[in-house]
This record gives sequence, C-alpha cells and structure tokens, in this order.
Amino acid sequence: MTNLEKYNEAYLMNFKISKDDLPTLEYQGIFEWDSVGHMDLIADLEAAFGIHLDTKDVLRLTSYEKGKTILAEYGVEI
Amino acid sequence: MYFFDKNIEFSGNIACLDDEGKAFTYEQIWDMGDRMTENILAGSLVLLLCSNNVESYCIYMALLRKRCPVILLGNSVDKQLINEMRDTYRPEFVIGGGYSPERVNEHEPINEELGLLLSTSGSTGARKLVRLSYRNIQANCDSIVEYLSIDKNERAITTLPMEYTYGLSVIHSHAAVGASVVLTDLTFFSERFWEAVNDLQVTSMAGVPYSYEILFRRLEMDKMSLPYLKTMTQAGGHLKPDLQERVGTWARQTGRRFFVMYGQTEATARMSYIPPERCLEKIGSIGIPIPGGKIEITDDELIYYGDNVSMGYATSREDLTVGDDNRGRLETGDMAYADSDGYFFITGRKKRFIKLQGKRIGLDGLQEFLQEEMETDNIVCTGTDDTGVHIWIAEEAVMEQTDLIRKIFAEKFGIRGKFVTFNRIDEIPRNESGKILYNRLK
Repeated sequence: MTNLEKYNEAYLMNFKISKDDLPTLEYQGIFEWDSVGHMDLIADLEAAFGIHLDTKDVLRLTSYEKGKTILAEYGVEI
Repeated sequence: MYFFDKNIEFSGNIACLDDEGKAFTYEQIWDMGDRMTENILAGSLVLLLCSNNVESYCIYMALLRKRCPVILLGNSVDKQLINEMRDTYRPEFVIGGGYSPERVNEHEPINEELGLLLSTSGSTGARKLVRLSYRNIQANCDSIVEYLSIDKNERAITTLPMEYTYGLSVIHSHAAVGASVVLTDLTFFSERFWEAVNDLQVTSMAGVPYSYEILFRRLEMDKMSLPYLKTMTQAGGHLKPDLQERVGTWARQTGRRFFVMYGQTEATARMSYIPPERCLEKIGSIGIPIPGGKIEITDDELIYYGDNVSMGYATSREDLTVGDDNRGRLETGDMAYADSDGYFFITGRKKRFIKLQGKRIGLDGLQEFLQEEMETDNIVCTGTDDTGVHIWIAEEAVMEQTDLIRKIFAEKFGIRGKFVTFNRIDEIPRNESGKILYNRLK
C-alpha cells in the first residue's frame, strides 16, 4: 500500500465517506469528524505511519489536505 | 431573590465573554436579555434552542427572571425532535436556533414552581423531561458554589453543551456569585480554544470522562502551560482509575484542584463530590454528599435526599401542572456501597442505560425505535459502555438492513458505526408473558 492509500484509508475507515469527499474534508465539516472522530483518526494515522503527533499538530490537523502537510513534517511523504 | 434575578452588586462585573474576548457586564446582559425576550409574556412556557453563545445566555437568564419555565434543547438537535417536543408540550413561545420569538400556542395552566425542563438523553429522541423547580436550581447552585468555593474572581469556559445539566450548572454557579463564563462552542481540538483559555484567563474547566481521555491521553494537558487555570471538575460518568490518578497527580503537583463528582439531571445536576485533597486516596469513588444533601443505600441502591431533587418527570403537557412528586427523595437507579470513611462507590446500573462517549443512551428507546422502523418485534438491543450497542436480529429480511440501521443510528442518535454490532439469532428469547430475557443475549 502506498502512503497515499494508507492515508486515505484512515479517513475512509473512520468516517464512512467516499473517496470523492476526501479533498474537501474538514474537521467538524461532517457529523463523524467531531472530537471523538478526531481522536480515532489521529490514533489511526499514528499507527499507520509509526509516528507520534505532537499536541500542536493534533490541533493543526483540521482538514484532509492540511494533514498531508503535517505528516510531511514527520518525514511521511503522501 | 434567586441567583438569576438582577443583583445590583454584580452590575459592573463581567458576566460572560465570547471566544474572541468581547466582554459583557451583568447590566449589559440583563438589558440584552430583556430586549431579546420583550415579546414573551411572563409566566409563559418557552422552548429555547440554545448553543454556547452570548445570545443564548442572555435569553436563558432573562426567561428565568421572567419566571417563564424553559424547555432547554440544543439548537443542533434533529428537526423532528423539535417538532415532537412542540407537539408534546405545546410551548407558548419558541426562541433561538433561527426562531424569532413568536407565539405558537395559547397559554395553558402550569405549575408555578416549575422553572426548567431538561431532557435526560437528548440524543435518543426521548421526549421525557425532568421537571426542575426554581428552588431546585437555587439549592443545587448554592451547594456547588460552596464546595467548589466559587467567588467573583472565577472564570469558567464552556466545554459542555449548555442544555446538558452539568454544562448548565457551570453557568448557574458562576452567575450566582457575579463571576464570569467564556461562552464558546470551540472544542478541545481547536487552537483557538486554548488561546481563549490563556488570553481570557480562564480559571476552571469541566469535563466528562471522555473529555479527560482527550485532554490527558491525547493532548497531554499536563505538559501545557496554563498559568490561570486553577480548577478542573469531572462528572457525567465513571472516570477510569488510571486517568483519575494521572489528573489527580498533575493537580497535586501543580497546586491545582481536581474535583471528581457525581450527579444526575433528576437531582438538578450534582449529588456528591470527592474533596480534591482526597482525590488520589479515593480513586473510583463518587465521594461524599454535597452540602445540603444526604445519601442512603437501600437494597444496594443509592438514594439521595436534598432540595435539589427534581419535582419529577413529564411526558405530556398536562404533567406540567403537577406539583412535587419526589419530595426531596431520589431513587438514582445506581447500585452503590459506602466505605468506612463514608465515601460512596457505584457498582452498576439498575436499568438499561449505557454510556457512550459521555452520552447516556437508553437501550429501550433505541429498541422501540428500531422495532417501529423495521415493523417487527424480531429486533432487540443490549449493550455495554465498553462495547456499545448490540443489535440482535431474528429475521433474515432485517439482517439485510444493517447498513440502513447504522446510518439511522449515526444521523438520528449520533451513535457512530463502530459502536453498533449485529448478531443473527434464531429467535428472541422471551419468557411466557412475552418479556424479553436480555440476560440470554450474550
């Protein structure tokens, strides 16, 4: 699986959305990406890439696109 | 005079702030609230659709002052639930959530003591409300102010919905002493939330167990610099022991106070608390009764006595004319025992309720809904706090609808898919009188 596939998988598993929804996906933009969904998403991203996100990045990860930039800072190129 | 009436001593104090720091004095919020509710006749039953903002705060306080009994619902609730509430209770006015205050029903008799009507499980569509008197909310507020030692210098921030009894108790207890509250719908995962906490010098924060999972396990709040924050409170369910230890230890080491507390909407909000100095010693306990309250254990059930015990429930408009059914005594439905120091511990629930992410979910309500929706009795619900809702299906055609059920649960009740599991069985176990034998469904 490529990094992009792994990245997408975390969103698709947690939010039960289609791939087409991903580019515009934002925190609190859909019912399931609330605080609880955010907790699960972050945990899944960390597990998928073997990283630990700092608190400030947990707060900065407010959209699907933003997440790619943040992961790049951890050496994960999507 | 009640705590929500105009207390001239507080006029110039800041009552509330929005999350951008715009501050409003008590005098300002009185004037704003009076204006926002000027079309509403004193003594009318009002449905207020609220969120954590200055407008809702002003309107809510004004309605209490005008002795208008308030049905409080979150403004994001399902439209259908709003309509059901309107049909069931026939409020004379609906305000907030995009409704301009308009008269929607004629005045009908209502009990004079009645001040506030809260839902116990807003998410499961239950129309049952808890009837709270002005005396109830005053009494609980007095107790809370006393044991939390809240004074006019305190500043809370909203971390729970206003329509949720615990969230509301934070607002009440600060208004009662002329203190202030930052009103925001921002979540713990918002950078702006944390900026507000420090920039606006927030002194206390409230949370349910899941809040503490977020705050400590995920956001490592114990590593944050929060120079003004002095007090953390927790209620709304059982906090995991290791988390209580972690938060309690952090509080002790940093000179803060951490209160583990217990309550129910049926007791306005609060019944017991652990004094912070004993937090680490009494892990797993719900503590001791709040000032003015008393707890007894009868047949293993926790019975609470106090002026904050609600008048009773309502399921119809006619119920709102009824007086005090409970007379200060509440059967909590929680099974409990006391240790030799008089600290109480809860062992389980008497009835069929589970708690998912801090939200109380009535299994019977879900089951009834599913049976109606699927037009069959061959579907029942069980569940636990840890594993979520288990749906037992004894009909092939229904088994094919599991995706639809998940969707309904998410949209209607806010229960996410991963907390719903399905089990195919041959038949629903029942006793000879047709009662479902839930203990066989394991």
